[in-house]
Amino acid sequence: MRRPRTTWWRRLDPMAVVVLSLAALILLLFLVYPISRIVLNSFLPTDAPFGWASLTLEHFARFASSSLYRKALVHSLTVSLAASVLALLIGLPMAFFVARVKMPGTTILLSLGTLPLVVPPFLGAYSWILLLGRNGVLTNFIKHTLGLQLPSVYGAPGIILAFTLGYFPYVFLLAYGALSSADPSLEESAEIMGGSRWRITRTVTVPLVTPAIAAGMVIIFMQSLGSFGVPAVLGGEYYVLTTLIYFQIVGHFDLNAGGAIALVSVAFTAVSLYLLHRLTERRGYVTVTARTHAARRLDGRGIRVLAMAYCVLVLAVALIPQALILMTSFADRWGAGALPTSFSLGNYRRVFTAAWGPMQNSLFLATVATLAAAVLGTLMAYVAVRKAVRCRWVLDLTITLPFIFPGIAVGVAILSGFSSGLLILSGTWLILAVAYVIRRIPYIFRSASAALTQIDPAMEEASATCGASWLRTSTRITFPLMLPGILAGACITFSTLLGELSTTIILYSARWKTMTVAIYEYLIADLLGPASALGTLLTVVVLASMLLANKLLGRTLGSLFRMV
Amino acid sequence: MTAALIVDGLRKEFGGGAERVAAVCDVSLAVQAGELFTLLGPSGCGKTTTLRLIAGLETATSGRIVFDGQDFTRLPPFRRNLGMVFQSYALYPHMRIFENVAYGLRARGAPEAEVRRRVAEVLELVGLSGLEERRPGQLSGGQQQRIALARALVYGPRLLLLDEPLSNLDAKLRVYMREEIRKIQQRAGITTLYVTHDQEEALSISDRLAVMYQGQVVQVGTPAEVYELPATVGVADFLGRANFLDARVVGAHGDRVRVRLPSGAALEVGRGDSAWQPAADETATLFVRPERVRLGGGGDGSVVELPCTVQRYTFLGGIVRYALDVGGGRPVLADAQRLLPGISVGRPTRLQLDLADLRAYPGAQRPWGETA
Repeated sequence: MRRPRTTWWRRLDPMAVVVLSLAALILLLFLVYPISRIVLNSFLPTDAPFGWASLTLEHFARFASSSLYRKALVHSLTVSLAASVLALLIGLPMAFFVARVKMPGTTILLSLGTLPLVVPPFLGAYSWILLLGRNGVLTNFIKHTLGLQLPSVYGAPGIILAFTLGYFPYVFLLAYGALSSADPSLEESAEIMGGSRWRITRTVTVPLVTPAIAAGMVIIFMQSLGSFGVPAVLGGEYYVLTTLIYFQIVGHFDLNAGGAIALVSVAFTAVSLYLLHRLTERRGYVTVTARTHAARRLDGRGIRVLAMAYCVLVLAVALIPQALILMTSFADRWGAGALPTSFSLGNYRRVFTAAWGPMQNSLFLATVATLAAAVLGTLMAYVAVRKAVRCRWVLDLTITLPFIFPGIAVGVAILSGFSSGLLILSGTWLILAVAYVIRRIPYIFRSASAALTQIDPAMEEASATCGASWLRTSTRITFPLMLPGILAGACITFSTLLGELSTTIILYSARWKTMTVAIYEYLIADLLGPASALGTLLTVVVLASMLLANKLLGRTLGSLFRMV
Repeated sequence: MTAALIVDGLRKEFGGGAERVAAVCDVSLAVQAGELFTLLGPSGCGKTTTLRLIAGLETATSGRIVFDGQDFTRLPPFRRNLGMVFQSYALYPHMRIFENVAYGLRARGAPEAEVRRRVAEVLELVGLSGLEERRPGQLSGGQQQRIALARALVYGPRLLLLDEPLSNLDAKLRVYMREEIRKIQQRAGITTLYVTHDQEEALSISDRLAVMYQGQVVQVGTPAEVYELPATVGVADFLGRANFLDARVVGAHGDRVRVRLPSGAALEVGRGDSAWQPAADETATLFVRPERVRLGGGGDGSVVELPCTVQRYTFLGGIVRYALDVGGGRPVLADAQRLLPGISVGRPTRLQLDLADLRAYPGAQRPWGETA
């Protein structure tokens, strides 16, 4: 019997009202306000104060008049679409093999398959230059042995390569999840009804995993569209929307123009999310029933060898950047050959003195922002799941907004909101922390609300009938029961914040430089050793926090990402 | 004895505008102190909503709830000092059994020594001493059920609410636990409101019960009253097996009604619905329990005999249920204690009804499941 739950405590307990309005106020100030500012500003001429009469479309008109703008837009869409499609081609077979072919070490394959997501992609991007650049190891090798000149890695090919290998795990993990959690009796019943293997694949299996694949592709499209680091490192003269925003803001101090470009980019992510929503809504049959038995796995010798070889090859290629960074970080001298001639800890000694500040900053900012996001995200999940407010759509929108806004756009929004006006935060650590919190609240929100939906409302009702007030109920019952979910979300938040560059690059100041900015500066200055050492340290911390999340939840690394 | 819990004109509507539905409409009850009072009815009848209103987990649209002279209607649940056992038990998985049971005491700020003493006492009451350090997941369903009961009783509430407490247990354990609950309730001497959809459970455990249907209380009485003298055809059918025969009113005097069966037989039976003023030639429904229908001939004057044919019979172990064709209409069920010699399918025989076991109801009423 379904009963609507009423909200007795919220109407009766002033404590709840206070806590929840505080959360609402913070969101209003740090999310709704800056996003309204960026929307308004993009319709204002450069450096003009606000006035209804001065509203203009000039920044948007540049997409028609300026070839730089037009090209950046085309480039962005090209690389993002290409990366999504290529990721599908690479990730889907791997998902199928791992889920449906009997082979050893699937757990290791799943963990290694998540690794590219853990490491900030711009870090890997540079190692492709090491390999395939004008003077790259592989370029030279092929030139000398085969006499062939590889095409330049700068521009579209390199960016697409880095995006594809950095983001393909989204398709892999989501498709794997759908394939391994779909009720096998769906396919078995099709088989009993006399469907051929091909027919079953076409009419049952593929439709079952389509929503997951589509979701994976949309995530990759959005991530690629919003990524700053990779095109900044590999782009050269090849501008995309994010680098164009950076160029406008840091090069020309034109916040309003940057805002307009960010809005255009947001429009594309919004459209892709809307299409995804339409697709998954129409196919509202995601099976989450309890599985009675595992799907049968193919165990023919041929298919097993093929599957294993494929997975190992993909992972090897995808993890080349990480391996190369690790090696470079210990390299002392590079001779003319492919490998360094001597190894030392010199790079680490160097970054521990030169980049000590950024390391501290990164840890501080990520910790503070994670804590704040955890508190806010949990409160919002509480309100949303326990249906305390009639206007839930407001909450949904607030949660989705930072998700739709690419990192660099969030940076621009926060900068527009707090570099002038009543509250000036630019140049402080707070502006970074605020941006981090706003960007990552959805992570906590999702895992916390998933945890909360699992909790029987009778748990809280029992507490109330036992004589506990709302405050006692939420601190002794609701919160402890949600804690594993919150912690998992917090670990992901923490580790992705450590690797954050797209927002940081807009908002950092000389005093509040982060590790990623330091790495970026090293890369731009061609100081590969220190960049790699810093990158390796970053990867280690990120991995440690992911493993911690695993331990806390008893789940695999991959499932953490599927949740997000 | 005086009424401890008074529910007066209670109404609860869910949703707003066009989607508004009344889950509870004008429910009035008076529960005596120390009594085990049951709300019984089919799912969706509003019994759980009524219980949740009394607990304070829902807010009434209108009406009043008074307990021991104190107006409960607007009081939040944690100020009502009542104990509640949930269908899912709602034991806290992150706490040990001791902490689970101690929860209400600690919420009241009881000193630690008293907490320990009271928890030990109540665990002994439910017969589960020694499980303090376990986690809820390590207990069986029946044990969890008793811990939930202990948690609701430990702080000495004046009112105990039980929401389908046995529905997650298997059949045998259910019977055992309902006797346990009754014993514990008697020993604690606590006024108790019990919600169930299981008529057997309700009949066996209650001092009195209220049968609810479509948000309203249809009948209140002791188990025997409600079973033997149901107020409506719906109540008759919901509380066990029932036969309904079509009839036509011939006349009435006092609380007796004279009716004629389609077969032509005329009989005088008791009025089931006391508010009913039967008029001549009005349609009526006769009710009789299958266990009161006897097969075979021979009897005295208070018995009516009808010719019938055995359609089929079902062997149910303790009883044999015969389905009899009385010439049109639905078959009449007759429960016998054993297979009857000389009675076989397809053979004409006679059935006997004791007039004292028959009740007449107005109109052509049908059981709840069939009217909906």
